[in-house]
Amino acid sequence: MSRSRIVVGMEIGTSKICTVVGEQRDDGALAIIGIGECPARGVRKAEVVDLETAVQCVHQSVAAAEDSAGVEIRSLYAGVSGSHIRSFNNRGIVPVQGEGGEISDSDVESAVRNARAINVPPENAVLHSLCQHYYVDGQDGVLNPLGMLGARLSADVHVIHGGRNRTQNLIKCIRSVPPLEVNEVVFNGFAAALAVLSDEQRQQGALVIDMGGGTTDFVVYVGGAIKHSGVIAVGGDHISNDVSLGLKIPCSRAERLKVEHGTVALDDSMKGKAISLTGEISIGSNVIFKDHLCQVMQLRAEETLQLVKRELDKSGFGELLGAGVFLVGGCAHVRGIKDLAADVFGLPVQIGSSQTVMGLTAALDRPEYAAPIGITRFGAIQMGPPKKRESAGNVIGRAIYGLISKMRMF
Amino acid sequence: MSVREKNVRILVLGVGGAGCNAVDRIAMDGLRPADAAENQSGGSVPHLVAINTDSQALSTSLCGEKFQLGIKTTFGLGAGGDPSVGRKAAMEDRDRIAEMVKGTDLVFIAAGLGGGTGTGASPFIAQMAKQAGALTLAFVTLPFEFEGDRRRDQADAGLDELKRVSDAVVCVPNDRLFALAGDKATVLDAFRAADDLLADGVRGIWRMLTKPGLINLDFNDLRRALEGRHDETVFGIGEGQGDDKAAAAAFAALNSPLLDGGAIIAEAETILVSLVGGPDLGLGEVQRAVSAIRKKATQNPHIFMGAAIDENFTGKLSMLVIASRGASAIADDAVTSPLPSERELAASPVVERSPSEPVVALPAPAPPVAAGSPPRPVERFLERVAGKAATGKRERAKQQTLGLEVNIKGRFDKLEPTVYEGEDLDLPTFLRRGIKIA
Ligand SMILES: Nc1nc2c(ncn2[C@@H]2O[C@H](COP(=O)(O)OP(=O)(O)OP(=O)(O)O)[C@@H](O)[C@H]2O)c(=O)[nH]1
Ligand SMILES: Nc1ncnc2c1ncn2[C@@H]1O[C@H](COP(=O)(O)OP(=O)(O)O)[C@@H](O)[C@H]1O
Ligand SMILES: [Mg+2]
Ligand SMILES: [Mg+2]
Repeated sequence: MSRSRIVVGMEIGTSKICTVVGEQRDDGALAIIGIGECPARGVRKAEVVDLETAVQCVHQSVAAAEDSAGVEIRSLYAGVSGSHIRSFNNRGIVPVQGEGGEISDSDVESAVRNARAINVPPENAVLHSLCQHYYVDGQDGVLNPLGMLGARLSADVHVIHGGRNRTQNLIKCIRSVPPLEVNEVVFNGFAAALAVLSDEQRQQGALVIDMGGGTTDFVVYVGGAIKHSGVIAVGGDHISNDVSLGLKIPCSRAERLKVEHGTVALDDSMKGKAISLTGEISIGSNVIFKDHLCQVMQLRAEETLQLVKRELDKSGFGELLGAGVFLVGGCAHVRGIKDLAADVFGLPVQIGSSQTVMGLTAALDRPEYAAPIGITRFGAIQMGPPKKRESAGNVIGRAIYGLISKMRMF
Repeated sequence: MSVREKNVRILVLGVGGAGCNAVDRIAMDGLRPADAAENQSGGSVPHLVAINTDSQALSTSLCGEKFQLGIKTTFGLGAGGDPSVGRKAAMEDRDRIAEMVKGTDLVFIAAGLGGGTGTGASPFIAQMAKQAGALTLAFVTLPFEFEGDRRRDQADAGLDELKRVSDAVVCVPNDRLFALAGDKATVLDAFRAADDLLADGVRGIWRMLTKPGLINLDFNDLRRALEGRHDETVFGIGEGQGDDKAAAAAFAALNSPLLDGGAIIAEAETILVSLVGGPDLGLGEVQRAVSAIRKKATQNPHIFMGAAIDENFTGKLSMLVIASRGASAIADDAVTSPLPSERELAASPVVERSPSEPVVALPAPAPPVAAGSPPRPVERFLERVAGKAATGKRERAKQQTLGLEVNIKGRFDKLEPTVYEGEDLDLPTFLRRGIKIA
């Protein structure tokens, strides 16, 4: 096993900093061989707010992953999320410059560049420009225009961008643990989709929702291409915070109650049912009723899903999701959330598992690992093998490389 | 005469979640514990009805009568924050609403504007009540600033509509209540204050109409005072005890934030003053109390006044003042400030503010003290002073909630807020939806 075959992805989440080590086989398949995890501190709503503390967690997470996989980690791919992430669809049109009207690499590139040129505010940098499809002289649905003849090339592109400084903070946090280097940055939601969706499901159309501690990231695939993506900076922490305020109990207790007793499927049997934490005796006014806990949770969870629904409706692709909804992130564990989501979206819902990779099966089924596993898969796609690249990979690589090189300059 | 106005039929309707909570409040407290005996004697006991599209919320209401609105439209699931759904639900039940309001003289409609049911259904119900010939008074709250632009816009539209179809609308911005409830207030405290307020208003008017009087104020007077007062109606209640209870009650009522130290009285075209005292109430006291109000008036208003006797008020005097400006006064803004509950009116020191100084938050209300003590802080009715510019209004609201959000955002305090379409999502969903837990 040569070292160059190792791919590492890291998600600096709000709840946990997770490092996933993958091993890429010759045929391109990726196997997960180790995971390191550290409860996140200094991170709020998926953004680093206390660098020093977060750096310690990064260090611990990487050390744990090294132990677990038996490798030394020098560089990695990093996931980014937060309220600063934005996206839009745009079309870039260029006259074909290639010899004899034959579309060249640079024609494709300038069409894509053209598409993402506008709309990005100066404080943001493009993370991904993902080609949806091309048009050659108005001919629809061209998947690969290279070598085709035409006068005019158009590219429909989904652009995901995020705050420069904020993304840089993330990179800085990781680079503060020598010898770590960040190869590229990937949007967490996109990464989660890379982990859980098969090619077929992307073709059929799917919505992937990663509901973590501080954010809910989503991407919409239709006809094999990303059509919409975004972040709502609300997550499981909000559920716990609501519980804490609603039941007037400390945050830590609210968090435990949520996990031990919470459900978002309300029913009459829970009415007036007193609950307590294991190893805790409740006395007098200290009594917590299950219906109160669950009502608070249900309201927040439903609202959050409704907000994603609203985003979906805005995109206009809600009717085209043949494969349904895939829930990942720690909040996919919330009891009853699958049915709640099915109600909200009126679509089949499943808890996503990382079916696109192999390896540690226990980890693949856990929805909270979808994003870091997806980040690793993203890295694997970027690294090759060259003969079998994902269609979008090329463009992604360049777009992100641009960002990183800009950031490295600081 | 033990119970006057036997034939006045009063209907109190709570519409939507907030409205039902307010009516629940009345159902729970009774019109006053001591009134219970009289309640059984029939007469003008208001008939309370909780009206909602949300069957689950309705099932927990304490009201004797529940009205499930628009079951075909909403399947009992609420209007989901969409007023057009609330309105449709009301239209679906047009016949049952007509049946309910038939033959009533006075209809109170309580609602929290901003959601779907209260905002959408209340104007329709008010219109039907009006058509049935009832004097129709709406008591509504406007959403908190943090509830977002969408809710505020919806509420504004609903308010306009309500003003068109009812006789008088008393309107209370929730942000205002929040400030009044003091530093440590939670949103629920503010809701409770709103519920109390609505209950106080209904009680005050009910008492006026039903207690035996030294000077009778009857339903026709009320009608004349309020009918067609689409534009702005405010009310305040003050209570006084001890030797100079008349002056104390008037002082407290006048200095209630709603009446703004008398500023609104000055512009009022109609004023209704209703006193309730014990059997010891003398005409001299009545006169003194009323002239304290009259002195503030500058527009030569039509003053209606009455004084009723209630044994529970021995040694005390309670004063209800309702002031209205007609349609000509200010065309585009019926937003009025709320008034504090009777308890709050009793106390705390005077803090003079310059009229233009924004009110950030008021000190927590002090415990009630004996009569004659200075009134609670004099609040400036800023909209009035600073003009009606929408921006000014919004800014003010923001400032008022500023000091308080700290307490209600828990672990998201001091972080960049998650704002979606103007709504601060860090605040608990149940608070923003006004759903009471426990
Ligand atoms: N006074 C008071 N106001 C409330 C209360 N709950 C909510 N509100 C306010 O009232 C507005 C309307 O909320 P609801 O009454 O719950 O809405 P609704 O009319 O039932 O409408 P839907 O739930 O959409 O069917 C909110 O935006 C709050 O500003 C309450 O208990 N008391
Ligand atoms: N069994 C569970 N029940 C309810 N919530 C859970 C459960 N497990 C994890 N969570 C919640 O999921 C969130 C963390 O999700 P995760 O995807 O690991 O977060 P992040 O990627 O933001 O670090 C936390 O809010 C946590 O409370
Ligand atoms: Mg995550
Ligand atoms: Mg409701």
